[in-house]
Amino acid sequence: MEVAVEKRRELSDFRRDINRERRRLFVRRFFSNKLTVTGSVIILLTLLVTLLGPLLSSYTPYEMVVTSRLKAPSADHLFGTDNLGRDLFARVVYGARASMGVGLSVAIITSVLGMIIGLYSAYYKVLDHVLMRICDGLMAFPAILLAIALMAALGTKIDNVIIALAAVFTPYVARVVRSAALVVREQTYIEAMKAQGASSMRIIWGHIAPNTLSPLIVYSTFIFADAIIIEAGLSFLGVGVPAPDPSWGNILFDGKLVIFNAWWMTFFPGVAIILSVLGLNLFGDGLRDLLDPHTNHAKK
Amino acid sequence: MQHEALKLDSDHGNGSYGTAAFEARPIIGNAREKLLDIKGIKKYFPVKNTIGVTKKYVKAVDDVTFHLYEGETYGLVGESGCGKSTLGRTILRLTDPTDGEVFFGGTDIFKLSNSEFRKQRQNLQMVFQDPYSSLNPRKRIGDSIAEPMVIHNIGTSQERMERVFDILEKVGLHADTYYRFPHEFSGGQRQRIGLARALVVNPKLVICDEPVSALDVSIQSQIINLLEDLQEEFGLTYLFVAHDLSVVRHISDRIGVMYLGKMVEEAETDELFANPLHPYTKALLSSIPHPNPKIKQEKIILKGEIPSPINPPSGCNFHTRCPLATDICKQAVPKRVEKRPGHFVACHLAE
Amino acid sequence: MGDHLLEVNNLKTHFRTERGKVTAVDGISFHVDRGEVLAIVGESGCGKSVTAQSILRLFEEKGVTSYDGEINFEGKNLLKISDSEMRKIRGNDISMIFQDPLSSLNPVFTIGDQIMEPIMLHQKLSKKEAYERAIEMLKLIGIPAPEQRVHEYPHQISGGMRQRVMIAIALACQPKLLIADEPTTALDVTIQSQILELIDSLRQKLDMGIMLITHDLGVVAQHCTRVAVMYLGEVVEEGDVESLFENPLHPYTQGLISSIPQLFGNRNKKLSIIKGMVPSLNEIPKGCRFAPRCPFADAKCMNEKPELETLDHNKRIKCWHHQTIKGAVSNAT
Repeated sequence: MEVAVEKRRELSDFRRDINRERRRLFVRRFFSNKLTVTGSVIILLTLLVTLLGPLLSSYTPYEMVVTSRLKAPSADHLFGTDNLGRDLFARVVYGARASMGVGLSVAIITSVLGMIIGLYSAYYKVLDHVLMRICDGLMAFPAILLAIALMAALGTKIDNVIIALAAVFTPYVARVVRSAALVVREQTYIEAMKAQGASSMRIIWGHIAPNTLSPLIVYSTFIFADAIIIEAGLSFLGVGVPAPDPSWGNILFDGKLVIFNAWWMTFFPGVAIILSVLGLNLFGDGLRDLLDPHTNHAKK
Repeated sequence: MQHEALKLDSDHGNGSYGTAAFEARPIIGNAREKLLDIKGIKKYFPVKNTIGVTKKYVKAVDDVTFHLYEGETYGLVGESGCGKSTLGRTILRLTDPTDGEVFFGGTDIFKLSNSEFRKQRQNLQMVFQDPYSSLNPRKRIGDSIAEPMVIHNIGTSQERMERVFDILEKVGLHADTYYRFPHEFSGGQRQRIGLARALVVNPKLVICDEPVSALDVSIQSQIINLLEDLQEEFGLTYLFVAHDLSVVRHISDRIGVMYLGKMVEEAETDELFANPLHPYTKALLSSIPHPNPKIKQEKIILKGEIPSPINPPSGCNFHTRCPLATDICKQAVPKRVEKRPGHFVACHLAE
Repeated sequence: MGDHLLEVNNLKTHFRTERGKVTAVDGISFHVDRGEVLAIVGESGCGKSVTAQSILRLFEEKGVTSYDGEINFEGKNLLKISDSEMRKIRGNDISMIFQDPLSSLNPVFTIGDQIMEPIMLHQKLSKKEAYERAIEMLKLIGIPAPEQRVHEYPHQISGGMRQRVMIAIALACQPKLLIADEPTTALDVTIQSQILELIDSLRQKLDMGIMLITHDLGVVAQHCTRVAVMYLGEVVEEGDVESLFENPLHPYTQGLISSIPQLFGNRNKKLSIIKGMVPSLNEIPKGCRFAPRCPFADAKCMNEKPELETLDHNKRIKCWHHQTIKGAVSNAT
């Protein structure tokens, strides 16, 4: 009995070591990849600004001071003020909440829905025909037009922006998951599980799903970025986040009217959009390299 | 009984089993009891034309009859596309059989409902050809091996873990394999893992689908020896599907030769190699390059290629390549005849 | 010296990988003469395919691959000549057949187009002449109705047929050296024997030198004249086929030969095995590379590298103990 206990202790030590080694290796690979590091630094900064927004600015985004309309950037107003005399820095920082919030929620919702739809349509042929035809139909519309139509039907509200964008992007995610799952479904280990009498539930969620995670995670970072752009587009067109709540898109809209005498009103929200989207895309590209099994030579 | 089988025998402590753990099963020579009796098994795959109407069938397995004795190794040989792998998969109902009966322990397993058959699956295990795709890359080896026990509700998680450590030792792998992932292992080691996964639930029959053909020569012999040791220890019956005749000769007690979905010849190994009766078997035996440069072989080089199983030739489907074919071969399908005790052949011309 | 068709001297091929520099082929030397078949035998990862591809300089990525040593082909060092000269040799003087006949043929071109391409490229023949030559080649390799086959696409023909077409492409310019990398591994035995017979007869007709890379010792014994056994990037033994099979000196060669199941004789004997497995190129043993798996290894083997010694009858061996081992084996059997 003693021997068995000893052996088990040895093994649990081994398990700890192996997990530590694995983490170390991942961290090393992560930091050796310039894309992921740059991307994640940008995203972290953006997220930090989003969360700490109120602490960074002494103004609120709604406070109008009629006397100081369209002031150029200065020490007092870091990004200047807008046409209603609101502090632009505060509005861009608070706008990040709308943009990043919408982006993140859309990425999460589409991942979950896309995964369920993708996995089941890859596994059941009949379901595949039905679900994929619906996806084809949704994908036939240009994303922005479909989003506008949905917003027109739902009404301008930030929750509805999320719902509309989730509806727009889910088919794309489902396609990605489905094609990954179709490859996995043909692997011998799936057949081995069938030969054991495993239920469909176990095969789909226990075996196929984990193997579609890496393309899904990569793709969802791109969805995150796309959602930020489309949200800005919707708000710019006046069917997104309703005024007076700030969003990068509706600040741009306000700035459009005064673009020739107040450059800062279009410049700063524009830069915010570019930076966050760039950060996410870099992160996604890096993540793809990192998770790609062909480049993943773990140590023996 | 299952729980019993899983308990670690504490007297031994080092992970070996008590004799009660595995029921002793008769090995060859004792009562030659049929473990698996396969009668007229057929598997046709429909071929759909452009508008989705099925007119033709690929006759992957066409009316094959044979049986496996308990404790023996039955080798199934043939070239690619002859249906030998499909036959193995059809027996395990990994693909729906078109016709036929397969008796296992007195019941026709083709007649069982899915849920009834699921209970039988632990007795009928499979080892796959490709060691790289047969393990889930995202699962630890221990979890992969334990999974069949989870599916069949065997033991507690602690007992399952003990059992996995035990079986790892049996297939010659270090205990730390438990926590590792498949990509850390070579082909030969993965094949050991595949074997461990098949044996963890105490099966009676293991269908080995080309288990060594993806491996290097020196690793191949390690796995073959392991298969033999495990058979002896656990009293397993193997259906050994392979295209390499020298491997099949080494491991099998009896051999069935398949060509284009049909079994053309069946005999005990020594008998088959000494007196091949079917012209296809003869050609097959003569075309294996002999690993001795002094022996210059007289090869029977078959003309042409294996015909498509969608439109198999009429009569004896080997007649298009057979050096001896006559008119009767083109017209009538040869019957399976027992020419000598235990030596069956389907050929009009065999004496 | 100098009159060999191909002479490889101390060839080394290095790859830069994520985990540092790896030497896949480490100082190998061998030669191929006209009209002979040299077999390169070894298990996966021994560097046999890398050797073949190094001869044609198929790894050209700068900064990733680097070569050392010489590859002399008809007096020219292939490692020194320019890329454009190398392109003239590839497919013209030296041809290669690959293992997988499906992925080595381009699915969007007809078989005829693919046979004609090297002919038009290297021999500067007109399209019409090249077409006639293609038909001739298809006849030569025993494809029935070549006038129809030239217009077919790779997916329309079977695996054995595709490998024949690969051979036709490789032989279209009547090369002096043919490198065949596992040409029959993906094929069935009855088709394999057809293909090997074909290569044999073409060799005699065209007086080519052939370098046959394989892991199948049966193929080696029946179809080759000389053998070089590779292990972990090195040649460990080289010699005539007959002497190598009859009297293998290196423990690795002995292990390989005795671990294959026999077609004749007692089949109930346990197979002998080579313990362990081929180490990765990152963990090359310090002394003799085979020492960790060798049943005869002692302290000397573990620490000191043996050299490739030349014995009589052109036999070469890399082992500290080949003389004592020889005795041990003949006593045991």
